[in-house]
Amino acid sequence: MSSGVIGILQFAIDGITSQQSATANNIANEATPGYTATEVNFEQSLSQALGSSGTQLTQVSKSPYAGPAATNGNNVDIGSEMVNAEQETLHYQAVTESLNAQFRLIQGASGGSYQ
Amino acid sequence: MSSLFSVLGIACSGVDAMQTWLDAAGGNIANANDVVSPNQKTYADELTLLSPTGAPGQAGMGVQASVVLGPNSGVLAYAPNNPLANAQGDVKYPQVSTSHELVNLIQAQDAYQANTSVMQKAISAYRSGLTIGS
Repeated sequence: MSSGVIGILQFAIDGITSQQSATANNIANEATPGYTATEVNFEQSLSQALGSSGTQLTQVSKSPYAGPAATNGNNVDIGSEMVNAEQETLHYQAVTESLNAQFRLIQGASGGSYQ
Repeated sequence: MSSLFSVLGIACSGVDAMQTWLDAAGGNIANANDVVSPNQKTYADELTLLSPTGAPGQAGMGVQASVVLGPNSGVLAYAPNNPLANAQGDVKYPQVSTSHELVNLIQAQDAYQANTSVMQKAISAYRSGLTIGS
């Protein structure tokens, strides 16, 4: 993982993208019998990556959701998945905004304007 | 692992699968009262099977629906005035459970809406992503 704020934000964007894929997949399989939901915990991976000093590639971890299954063996909690989807969208937008702010700083420092 | 705008593809597979399910349920309800002579085959119930796409253990890539035909043996009903009735006065109805199909319709509609809502959220995230550096 590259150092610096931009690298961290980039990792965050990748993690949120993975989360979004997992959530979209869970919602698409909301009615699939026997389907086990997947959850991506990228915040944990990010804090581990920030804690480690090496430059090794950090991957986000995926784990099966341990919630109770319905009678058809499907354990997608559609309510929380929709909330996750919304949260991830806002999170993505926030990280994008921060990235843009970083780039504006660099632009300003290299002789451009700060807007 | 993920292609560009992968969430849209996943949500699209969900919408497609739910469309297949809605079509099957709609077709079954429309044909629930198809009467045939007892010596003929009735309308076969269309059953929608949903399964996740992508290799097991890998990141999921959505859902797929396949339609299989149920039994076409039908159930006999006594209707002596029906021109299709046999000597015993029986006709045959397809084995469609209307209540089951109505529940399917509701489930498919809800899932369809959930997937389109995922699409909208993904679009607004990607749109903001495209502004990076501009």
